[in-house]
Amino acid sequence: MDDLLSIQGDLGGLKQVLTYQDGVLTWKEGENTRSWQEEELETVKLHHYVGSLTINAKLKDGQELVLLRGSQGLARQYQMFAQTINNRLQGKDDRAYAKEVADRCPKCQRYYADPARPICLRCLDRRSLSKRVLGLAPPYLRQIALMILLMLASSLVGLISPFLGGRIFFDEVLDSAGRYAGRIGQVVLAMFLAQLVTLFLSIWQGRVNSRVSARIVFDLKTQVFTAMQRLSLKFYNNQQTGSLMTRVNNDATHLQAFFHDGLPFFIVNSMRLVGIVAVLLAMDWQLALYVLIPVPLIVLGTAKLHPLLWRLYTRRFRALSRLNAVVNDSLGGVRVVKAFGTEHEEIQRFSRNNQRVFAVNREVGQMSSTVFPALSYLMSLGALVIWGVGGSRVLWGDLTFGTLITFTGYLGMLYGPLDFMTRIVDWWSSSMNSAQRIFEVIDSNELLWTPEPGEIVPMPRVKGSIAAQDVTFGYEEGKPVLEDISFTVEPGEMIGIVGRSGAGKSTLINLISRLYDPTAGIIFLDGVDLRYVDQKDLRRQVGMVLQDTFLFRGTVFENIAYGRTDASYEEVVQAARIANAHDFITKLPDGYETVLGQRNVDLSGGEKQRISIARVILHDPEILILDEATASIDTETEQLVQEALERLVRGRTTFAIAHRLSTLRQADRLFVLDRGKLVEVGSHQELLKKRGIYYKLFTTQRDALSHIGVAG
Amino acid sequence: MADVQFLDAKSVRLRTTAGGLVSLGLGDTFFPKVDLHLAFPFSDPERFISVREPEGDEIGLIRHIQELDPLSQEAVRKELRWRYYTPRIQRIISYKEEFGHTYWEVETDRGVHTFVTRGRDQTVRSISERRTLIIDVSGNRYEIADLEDLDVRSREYLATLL
Ligand SMILES: Nc1ncnc2c1ncn2[C@@H]1O[C@H](COP(=O)(O)OP(=O)(O)O)[C@@H](O)[C@H]1O
Ligand SMILES: [Mg+2]
Repeated sequence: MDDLLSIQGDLGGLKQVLTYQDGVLTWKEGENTRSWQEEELETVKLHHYVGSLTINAKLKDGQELVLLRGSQGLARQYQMFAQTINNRLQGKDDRAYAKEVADRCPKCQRYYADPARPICLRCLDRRSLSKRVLGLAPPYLRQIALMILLMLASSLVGLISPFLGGRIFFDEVLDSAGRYAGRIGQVVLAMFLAQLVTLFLSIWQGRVNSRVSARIVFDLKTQVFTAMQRLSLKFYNNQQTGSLMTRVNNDATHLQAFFHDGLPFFIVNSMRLVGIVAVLLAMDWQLALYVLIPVPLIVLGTAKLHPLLWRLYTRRFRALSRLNAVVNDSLGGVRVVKAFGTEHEEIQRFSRNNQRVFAVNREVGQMSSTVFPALSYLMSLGALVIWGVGGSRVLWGDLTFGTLITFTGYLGMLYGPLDFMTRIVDWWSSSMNSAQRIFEVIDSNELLWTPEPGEIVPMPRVKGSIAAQDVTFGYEEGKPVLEDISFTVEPGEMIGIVGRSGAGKSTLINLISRLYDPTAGIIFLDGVDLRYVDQKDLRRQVGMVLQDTFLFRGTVFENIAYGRTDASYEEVVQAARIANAHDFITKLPDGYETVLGQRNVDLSGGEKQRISIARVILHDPEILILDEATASIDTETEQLVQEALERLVRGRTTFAIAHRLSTLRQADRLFVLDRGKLVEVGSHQELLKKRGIYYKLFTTQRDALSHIGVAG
Repeated sequence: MADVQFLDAKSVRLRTTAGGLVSLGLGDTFFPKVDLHLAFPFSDPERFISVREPEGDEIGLIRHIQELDPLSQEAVRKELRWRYYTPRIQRIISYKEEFGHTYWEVETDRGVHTFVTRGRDQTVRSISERRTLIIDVSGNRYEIADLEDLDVRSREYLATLL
């Protein structure tokens, strides 16, 4: 007997359950049940709605029905369920899908915040996380020990000053009966020395600290960067944006600030607090208790007020960033703004947002000019109590004047850091959160699948035949972008890939160049499963020219020789000539040594494109991929780029995507993609005769182009 | 191709099928299953409803739901209610921000919901001055019809997310 598979609907209070076992699919809602035998079923499929999901069954008799409705968080679960049944229906091995997906924390039973990231932040073992952060420390243990010693010393020495300036100075020096009566010079000197030593110690400690914390964060960042290079594109895809590096950098900086400022401040101050309280208690425990009265009030007050202020600051931050976005928008798009004459609307958009910033700024101002004076008032109340109670006891004669002064001296040192101490817990947990995010990148296993070292096939030279067999792929589970693609391409053949935008053309070449692996099916290079081909060899033999060329900061020479640092001047210049780039490069002020990515060098799209073509020519790959390589280029330079491309294509297996179909004239065969399926294959002439999708695409485009007077 | 194709409301018969889907009779043609998409889901969910073949071409636009016969209207409303499933928040019972995630418990017109949102970006979307949408980690949506109906604390918290 099979395992029982079961899923539930969770929308609108419907209590529906769907189970599958031994070839029988059963639907249940309360008392109602229906079931279907495997023989009756055609497919079971997950559908994404905007705010919900459904699982539908298509029956062999043509009927289709909604079986279950669920919220979006269940997508993974539903997909697994549907896939398992479909595999069974098609007689495929289903073991890959039969595994249970954990969607909630095994410890506390709460759903994971992010189903793709099975980490329960609540149950996350914080101790092991901190252990791991501290695990970065061992290489610097000696320095850290030194640092703590220095902190200890400086907080102890820091305690001496008020004592010298109070008790000793007034009771022992100024009092004629004192032990050091009249020796003002010596006590002042002692105070001077104590302060000097404190200063020296804290400078020393700060310097060691900077070195160690900067070093630890440096190590961390290196680890992250190394990990990021290793990750597959899929990881970046899941991270939604390309701002990942910025975020990791911020996290690392946040962590560093905590180690550099937060932790030492906390250690020094808590040692100091303990020291002060001990000294005060030893001097006069009754008065010490009075000192401690406002402490709970201050702690409570800051704990209560802090979130309030923090909320305001967040709002201000968000209002400001929105204002900045508006400014960037209208300045970046200034040509559009001018062209449409919408300056006035832009100004209004700006003042609307500026108004918001103003409002929240006012609130922040009012709040903070209320809160902070109130807090210091609270603290001064403590001093008043001491003056009152202590003063009268001085008059009674059971307290020395020096002790009173010492007390008030310690008061500031005691209350001051309290505000900070109440926030250290927040700081600690947000730092650990940063650490967690960093480790997540380091630990992420969104790697391309890698074979065992023994199974890797080295391919220093390839012939260049590419084949696909039943390839299916989707960026997200349950949403296939390519379906059941099969083809064979001979070495040296040029293939044009055409189809409407969104048909999956770029996705197909992403698979061919192995930026992603197929969800199902295999891609072969010279008959070898692409996943087993040595990555280094593969990268060397696949060259790409894309629509958005990316040039690195550096000279033209370095950019052309990217990945071929051994290239000679002759080779680079030769490549540039073939790429029709040599001419304009020599006209640049610094020739091949012109630094790109700097302000006064603004290359046109066509020029950048020719540099990237030169880069590929230098690489001399067997397999060439061109994705809309001429799309963002003006018609004048297009000729030059087109010519360069034609030279490049010669003798290489080429996959070319071009929006303008006429640029694919050279192609030996065209692949027509439609909604993720390979629907037509053949030469331009054959496909025109077929009068199918290609014919439609071609004639529409020709008519449109002749309309605007561009020869097709 | 360039003109917007509006369906002739009189020849449109949209029905809920026995299987819970929507079928379309359009004059003599019959589509056993069609998808409905709103062009303006927030500002006007009754107008410009795109009727499409599943994962395919648009059959045409419905100008306004009220042009349809009552049975079609009912079928469309029912389907859109599921497709754009968006519980309306009446009261925020609790929220707790922890480690960059916020855990919500809310009372909605479709019962009590608990959900999680991540971070501060793209979590709350303001549709108009007062109407607001909260989008959780998996992409589920919750609507707040009028911010003014919420208690002050929740309102202030939402303001930090906007
Ligand atoms: N990185 C991605 N993550 C998720 N979906 C994607 C991604 N890239 C493309 N898609 C989706 O895959 C489909 C095919 O895209 P693509 O291959 O770029 O089409 P084409 O190049 O033919 O215009 C589109 O629906 C697109 O939205
Ligand atoms: Mg593309």
